[in-house]
Amino acid sequence: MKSETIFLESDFVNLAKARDFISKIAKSCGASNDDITKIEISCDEWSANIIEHSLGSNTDKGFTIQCKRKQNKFIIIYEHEGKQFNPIEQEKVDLNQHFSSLKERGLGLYIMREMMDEIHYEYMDNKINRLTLVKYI
Amino acid sequence: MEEITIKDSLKITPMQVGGSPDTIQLILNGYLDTYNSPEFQSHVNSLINSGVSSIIFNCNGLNYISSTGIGAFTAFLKLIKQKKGDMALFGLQKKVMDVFQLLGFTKFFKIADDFDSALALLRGEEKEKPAPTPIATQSAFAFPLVFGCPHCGKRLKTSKPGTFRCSGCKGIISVDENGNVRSA
Repeated sequence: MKSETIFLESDFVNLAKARDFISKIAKSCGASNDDITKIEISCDEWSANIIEHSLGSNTDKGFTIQCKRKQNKFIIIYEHEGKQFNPIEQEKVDLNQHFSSLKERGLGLYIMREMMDEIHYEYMDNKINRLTLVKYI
Repeated sequence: MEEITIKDSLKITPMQVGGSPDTIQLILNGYLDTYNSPEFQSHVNSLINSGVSSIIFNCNGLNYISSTGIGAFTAFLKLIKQKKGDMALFGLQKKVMDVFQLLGFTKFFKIADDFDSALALLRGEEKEKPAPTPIATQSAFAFPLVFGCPHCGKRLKTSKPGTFRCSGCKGIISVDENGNVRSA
C-alpha cells in the first residue's frame, strides 16, 4: 500500500501545493482523469475550509495530508489541531434556494459530498480533527 | 487598462472589443481559488464600477477554478446586471466546465465555445446554447429507484442519484447514477 504525507502551513498560498500533491499521487495510483479532477476539487475545498475556519491564515499552525491507495479506494486523510468542525453534521445546501439568491459562497461541502464516495470525520484525543475522504477508483 | 498578475497565480489581460470603451475581453491565465479570488473580484468589480458594461471572459488559459472562484463570477453577474450590463464566458477547459456544471451554474452564465459566439450572445444575436445537464443530476439509470437502506434495511425511494439521509435510521446513503447504493 503506497502512502505519502505532506505537512502544509495554514496559508491560502499552499492550496495549489495541496492540489498538486494530491493529484500527482492519485495519478500514480491509477485514478482516471475525471476522478483526479473530482478528488482535486473536493480536497481543495477542505484545505480552504481548514485554513479559513479552523486554523486561520498566516499562522505557524498547519495540517497534514496523507494519501494512499487501498484496493479500489483512493484515500485522503487530513489532520490538524485547530478548531473542531464536523462537515458531516452540516445541513445540506438547498441548491434551488442557493441559485435563486445567487449566493457567492457556501458550496464547498456540497462539492465534497457530490464528488467523493465516502466522507468520515473523527475528533481524536480531544484535539485532533481527522477527515477521511475516499474515492473509488 | 493594463495587464495585471494577481499573486503570481492569475494573469488578467484586458482587450477592448470593437473600439467600444464599455465592452472588454479579459483573458485569464492561471488558476482561480480562495487564495486569489478576493483580488480578482476586487479588480473586475473596479472595472465594472468604472463604466465597463459588457465583459467577455476568455477562459482558455484558466486551468482550475474552485467554488470560491465561481462565487466571484456570480458576484460580477449580480453587479453588472444591476448596471444594466451583461457578461459571457468562453473557452472553458473541461475541469473548469465540470465545476460549473456540477454546481448547476451553467444556467446562470452565458457560456460559449469561442469569442465570436460569446460576443453574439452579449449582443443578443444568437440563441443561447442549452445548458448541459449538471453532472450531479446526469443519469444513465432509469430513476426512481426503490432500495433497502444499507444501514437498517428500511425501504426507501429516490428519484435521482446523490447522497441522502435514511428517514428511518438517519444513516447517510449514497446512490450513484447507475443505481448502485452504498452506505456513506
